[in-house]
Amino acid sequence: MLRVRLTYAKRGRACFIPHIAIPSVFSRSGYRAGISFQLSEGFSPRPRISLGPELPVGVPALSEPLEVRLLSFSADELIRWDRALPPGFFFTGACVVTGEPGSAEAKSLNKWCEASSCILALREEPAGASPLESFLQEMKDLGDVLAFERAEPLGFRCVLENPAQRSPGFLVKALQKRGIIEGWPDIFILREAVGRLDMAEESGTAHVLPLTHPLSEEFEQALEKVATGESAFSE
Amino acid sequence: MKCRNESAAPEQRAVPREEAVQPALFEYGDGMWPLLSNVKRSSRYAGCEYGVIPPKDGNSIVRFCLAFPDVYEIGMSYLGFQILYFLLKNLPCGDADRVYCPWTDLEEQMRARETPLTSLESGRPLREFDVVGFTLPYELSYTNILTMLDLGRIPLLSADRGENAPLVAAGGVGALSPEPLAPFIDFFCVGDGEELLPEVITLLSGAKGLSRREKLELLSGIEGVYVPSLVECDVGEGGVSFRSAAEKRVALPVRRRIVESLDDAFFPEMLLVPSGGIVHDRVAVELFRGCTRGCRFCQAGMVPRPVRERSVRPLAERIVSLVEKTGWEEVGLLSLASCDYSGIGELVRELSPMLAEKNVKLSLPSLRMDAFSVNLAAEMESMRRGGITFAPEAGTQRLRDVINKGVSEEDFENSLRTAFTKGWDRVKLYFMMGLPTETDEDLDGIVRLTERAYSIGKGIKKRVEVAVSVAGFVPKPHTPFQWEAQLSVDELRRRGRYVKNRLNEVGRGKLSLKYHEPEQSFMEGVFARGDRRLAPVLLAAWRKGARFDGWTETFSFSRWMEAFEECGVDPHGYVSRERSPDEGLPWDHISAGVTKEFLWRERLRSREEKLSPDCREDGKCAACGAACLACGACFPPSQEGGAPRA
Repeated sequence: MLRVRLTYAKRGRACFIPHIAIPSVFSRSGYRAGISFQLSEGFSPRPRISLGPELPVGVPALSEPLEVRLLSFSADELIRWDRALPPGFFFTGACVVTGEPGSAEAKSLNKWCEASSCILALREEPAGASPLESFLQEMKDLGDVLAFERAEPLGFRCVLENPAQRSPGFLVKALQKRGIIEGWPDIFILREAVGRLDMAEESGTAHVLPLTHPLSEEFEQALEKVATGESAFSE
Repeated sequence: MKCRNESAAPEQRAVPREEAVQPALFEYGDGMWPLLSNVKRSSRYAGCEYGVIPPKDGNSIVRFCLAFPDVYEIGMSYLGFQILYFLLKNLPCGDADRVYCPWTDLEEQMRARETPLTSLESGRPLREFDVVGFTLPYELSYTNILTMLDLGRIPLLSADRGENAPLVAAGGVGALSPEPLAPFIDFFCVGDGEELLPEVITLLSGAKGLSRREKLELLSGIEGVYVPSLVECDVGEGGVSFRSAAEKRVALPVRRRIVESLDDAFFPEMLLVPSGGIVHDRVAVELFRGCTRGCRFCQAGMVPRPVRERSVRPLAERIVSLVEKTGWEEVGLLSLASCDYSGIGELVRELSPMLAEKNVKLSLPSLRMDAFSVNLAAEMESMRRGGITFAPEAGTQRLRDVINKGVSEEDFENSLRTAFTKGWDRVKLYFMMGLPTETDEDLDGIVRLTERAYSIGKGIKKRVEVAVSVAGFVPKPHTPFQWEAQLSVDELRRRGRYVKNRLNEVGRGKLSLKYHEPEQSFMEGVFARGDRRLAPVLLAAWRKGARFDGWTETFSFSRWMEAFEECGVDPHGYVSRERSPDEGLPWDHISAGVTKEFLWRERLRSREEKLSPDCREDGKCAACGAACLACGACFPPSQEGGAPRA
């Protein structure tokens, strides 16, 4: 049995597919690609798929984590599975979880995800200073936002800790409370990454590291080795 | 057929693919995003389906937008829609896209922002298609057609459409009694789409450049196509009559087109797989078309004759292949009464182990009340997990004989005993109220059967649930009951309450009952047997805000009554009136296959409480007329039943 961590992008209108429907998106595409799932016990056995922190409907994403138990896995299978996904869904990387039970890495996805990073942009930006800038500064002072910066070509990038608690919805509520927006249609949010926090203490800059690697030649070889039990996976 | 996202070329090994990492401007620039982020169930509008085929290019391509007048999760559950999509894509000069009705919240926003309705896949505005073709699944969806045309910027009335507007077509059950929609629809397709659409598309591909009127005149020459603007409709003392209004005479009646052999008919090798969850989220396959049971209330059973079955082996192979290609977790074997499929035992035995290995459920949506059906369902591991549903339809033997529902008291007892013995503990029973000749005694019969089901269950199982659903009977065209009066709203409500109270008395909360909203049954009745005079009412009600009339949360009876009042049309004349046998009916210009003589004979037999046997079981032809289609699919007539003309 392999415990495989995958990250996926959810682009375009796929952002309107709700979190609750995501496991079947991946199980159906997996069956189409001939992926060998390990099934749950019980009356109606299903592929064992667990998701990371909930992504609200309407928020596109570049790197959302997902964990699945498989009987075998290879780079070829990853590519096949990626091509069997419905439009708007893409895998962005994969790794095999090799940490000992009880180790930090082997924690549940929600616990392993320390931080998230989002792009925030107003639908209608007023002339002059962006109200988002002062909003994010205030949130930073409150300790709700860890870091933020202007992003290219659009809006601001902000890093939040504890994504299981602080989802994009948390930011929308705070913006509504301050009268900056009326609701979801006025703000655009894209979640860039959910994962480990990389913080440079001195400069105060923060980055979120996705939980997986894109497919590269070295990565492919490493993945094959772990999947066939030849070696433990090392980052 | 090759799907866009199937296998990749070996050199393309990139993960992530390029589209995955495009900049945020991609979503930011989607003008629909602010609207979709402000509505309920936005997954309805997401598309995001596996298996969609890219649009075709070319001047000779006929762009057909399949339109479903209800929300996505209902429309996507219709197998017919999937078949037509792939059928059109498969035609050399045809292309298909789809559109569903936006819910009222999105409609409001689209109007506020002046956003036109576009197709789901390619985002093409409706008015830029060659044909917008509606499926007519039920009467209470008609106002949604107007919403979709209006949001699509297509003039509502055929007469107002200019040369550049799409042709608006309609097919499906509603095309068998199309008159209430006649002024809105340019042409109706009566019968099986697999047979009709290729001819329609070929003709339109060759007719590019011709005027609208010329195209419609050509289309009216195709058997099964009805062009209402070429047919004059008179309403007089003797009822409704029709005559050709075109210079080149239109042949009447319009005959329903049928596929002669399902094995030879188009059957998609792939199905579109939605991502957001729909009502029937599964591989759906049709075992056979048609039914010879002859239940006298049932339009779906009377019309699609003769019976045409698929062969077991190719069907089983196709099912397994569809499961592999779609990744769906469930297979539904559809038909009116799937257990009437002559190969059902063989098919289930063949499929069960293969599907079990893939962890895929197999389900039969409808079960007859006989030991064979229940035993068959019991063999299917996956069926036993849910509840089991039976439809005795009426509470007494007398009334079941009136409607020709061949279910005896003994069948009822045996089916329930078998079901509970085989492990089911939840049973659902379907009945109708307001059937011709029904009395309170028949309603008491519903209560008695429900009670009986419960006590049979309690004798076998510890925990038993019996739920009863009672639908108000609506007489439908092309059935033996097409001449009958429908019960009034008040009387339907009284009967519903009567059964509910009686069940509460005897069930003490253990037996639950649901009955349909009588006002919706009334409106269904009006439009089921309506004529062209209803079109202005439909328009007026829609202008007043009538939307999704099949949904209790949006339906407003008073709005409809205002519309009738304004248009000076009496709705009761359509519903509460018994028709005389010589009255011209508003669907007399459509020939469904079974003859009016047969229907009338069946009506007389119903009054004598006489059963008419299933011609497939007894080999006695009932001379229904469907064999007159001479397609060879019908069983050869025997002497005893009186032979239909060859």
